[in-house]
Amino acid sequence: MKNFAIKLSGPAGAGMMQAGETLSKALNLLGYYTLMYPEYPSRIRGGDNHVLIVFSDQNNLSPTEKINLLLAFGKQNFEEHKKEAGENFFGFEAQEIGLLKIGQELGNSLVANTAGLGFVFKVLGFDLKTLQETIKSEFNKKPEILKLNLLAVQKGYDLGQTKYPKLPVLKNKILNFSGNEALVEGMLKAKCDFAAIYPMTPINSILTILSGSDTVEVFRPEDEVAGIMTAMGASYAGKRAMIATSGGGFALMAEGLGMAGMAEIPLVCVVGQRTGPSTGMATFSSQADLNFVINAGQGEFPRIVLAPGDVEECFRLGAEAFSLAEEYKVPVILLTDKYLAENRFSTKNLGEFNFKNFARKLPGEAIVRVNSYEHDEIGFSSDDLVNREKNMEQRMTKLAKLKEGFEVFGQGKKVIVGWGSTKTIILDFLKDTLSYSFVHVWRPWPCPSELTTFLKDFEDITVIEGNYSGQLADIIEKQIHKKVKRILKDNGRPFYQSDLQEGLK
Amino acid sequence: MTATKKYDTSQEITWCPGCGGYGFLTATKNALAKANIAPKDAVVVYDIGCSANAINFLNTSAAAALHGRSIPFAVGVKMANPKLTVIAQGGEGGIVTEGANHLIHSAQRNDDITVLLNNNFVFGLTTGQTSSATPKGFKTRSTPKGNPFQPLSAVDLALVSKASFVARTYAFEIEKTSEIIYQAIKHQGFSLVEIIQPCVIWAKDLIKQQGIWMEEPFKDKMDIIGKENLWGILYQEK
Repeated sequence: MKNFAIKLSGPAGAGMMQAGETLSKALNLLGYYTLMYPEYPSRIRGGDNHVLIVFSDQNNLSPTEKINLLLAFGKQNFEEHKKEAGENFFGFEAQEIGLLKIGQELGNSLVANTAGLGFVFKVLGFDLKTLQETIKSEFNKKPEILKLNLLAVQKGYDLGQTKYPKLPVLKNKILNFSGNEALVEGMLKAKCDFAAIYPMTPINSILTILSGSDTVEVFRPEDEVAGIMTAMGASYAGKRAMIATSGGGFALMAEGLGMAGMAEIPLVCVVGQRTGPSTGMATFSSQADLNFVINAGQGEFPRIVLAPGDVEECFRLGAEAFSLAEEYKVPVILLTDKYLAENRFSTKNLGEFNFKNFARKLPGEAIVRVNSYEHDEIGFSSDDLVNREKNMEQRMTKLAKLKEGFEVFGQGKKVIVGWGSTKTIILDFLKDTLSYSFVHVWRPWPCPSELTTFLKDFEDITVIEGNYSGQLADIIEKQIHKKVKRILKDNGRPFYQSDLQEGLK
Repeated sequence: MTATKKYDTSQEITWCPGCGGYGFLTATKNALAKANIAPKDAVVVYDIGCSANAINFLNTSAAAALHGRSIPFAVGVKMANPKLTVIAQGGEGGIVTEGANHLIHSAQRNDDITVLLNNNFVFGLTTGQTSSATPKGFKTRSTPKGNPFQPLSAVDLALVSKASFVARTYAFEIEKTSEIIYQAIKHQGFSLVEIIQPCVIWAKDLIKQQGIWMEEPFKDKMDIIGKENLWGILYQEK
């Protein structure tokens, strides 16, 4: 089937995000894959929060500029998004169709969004039962609220009329995760047991989820500097420790990152990119911090940068990051972005991870010294030149054994290269063409040496990334001594299929 | 003293002759010995600066952290393994100037760590510039006409931030300092010991300090705040 796009729009506080999540999960229960892409300004109430839900019987979905179905709460929201009308479009405004009245009748205006979901479900021609099940599992701990929502969804459903040909119920068993949720699943599999997180969009849900965990000690530090230092202290004393932040917070952590490199303290850093520079567009996505995370910190020290592209990779790399940090005693950066972190995706299975233990000496068992100064084997500060040269060689060569780092899709004569969250969008594009090979780089740093060998066979190389200058493209050009084409976008919005079609012409 | 021998290292002590650091080092060893803490079980997290060079001179588990950041590293160590005795060391440059945010928040949380603050009134290693704890009017390389600002007091900051143990001592009074550090280590919760040790090179004129030794801690914090000549364990919640 063709991707079907639904947009829900309303002021902040009207429950658009929650409604989008519920609708996605109900569609998953019917056997459909979903992508949920929320856009919201940096405010708590009012404005235009909107969420796009794309669904299909195939996975790897991408956001669309044109929509098939619109439900807006508010005239202005309706007028704004009506402009996005695509094929077989139907649009509805909540007040006009009586959704707000349902809220008033039930004595709680907040359930208008749930009534709206009932309405949408009827318009799509699905059985209400599945939506009721989803709502039940969401509110199963709050019986009063559940009752209210079930009433609302029924009333909304009764208001609607089916507008589309009936879609079948599929046999797929589909799970729903945000990128942050999948990342946490992986981290827990790797027995992460310490997290220092100062809140910042788009990593906040990691703090929320971990705070509910029984196995992870969670610390909300006074600032990001304290965050990375505390995580390093915990790691030194035996924890599998992490921090999570965005570019601004990571800027404050740069000195600490260098200490992790010098003192060889295992550390996992989640950096969720958002539009910079500076405060930028705080709730919009970006891929402009690749150079920054590769180069942050004074002096030279090794680090690993992993950039998951979908929820399966969030899970796998979220777990592997801890193994790599322990094995090589380096900082490992998990570079995500707002698009991947806060979007909801679906999958049949996140995957498996085999936990590996790496023993190291801990204080309390032995005298253990770690040192941000250059130091000798005992850990004493040392300016000795022979010692220095030996240590630099040891540190700077320890990642030479790293293998893999990218995945190849398709067998076309031209090649597209991407990294991080563009993966599913590019895979969606490949559904309609056989002209391209696609290299998804999930470990941009150290840039895999095998990538050079692989790309040598291609004349036509296009790098696609969400930044102004083409940061991975620069790295690749340096490595293969050949010019590459670039499709770049840096306006906070994701790549649309039209961006790829135009750019690859 | 043989009981403290296990805390000695093979490394050459590089402090200037007459530096208060020697008193601080001896007192810390005495306190650890009295508390009977094995070198592997004590983690001393060092700042950057003259006194922080003690990572080479004191034989315990240790981390040389970053300037101003010994406290948060120490907090992480203690959270990870509460059985360890965790000390965060720093000069007044690290604890009061660069890292005051960590001092007040650690006090607020009552983290179970001991902060040993070596106050020499100036940035020593960088040739004697003012810190936030340099006395008003004091002439330094960065304030040739005299420091225009009132000094910040770590003791006052800790007290208003709800620290549960606050002390001030003088590095040249080794016995008293040993006992105060011992009491701070034994204290459950956040403890701050400000060790006055004016720099023998850049703050020569401040070396002779006159303090009033307190026999008993005060009950009311307001009796301590703003009085920089009070020495001893000034405040303790039990």
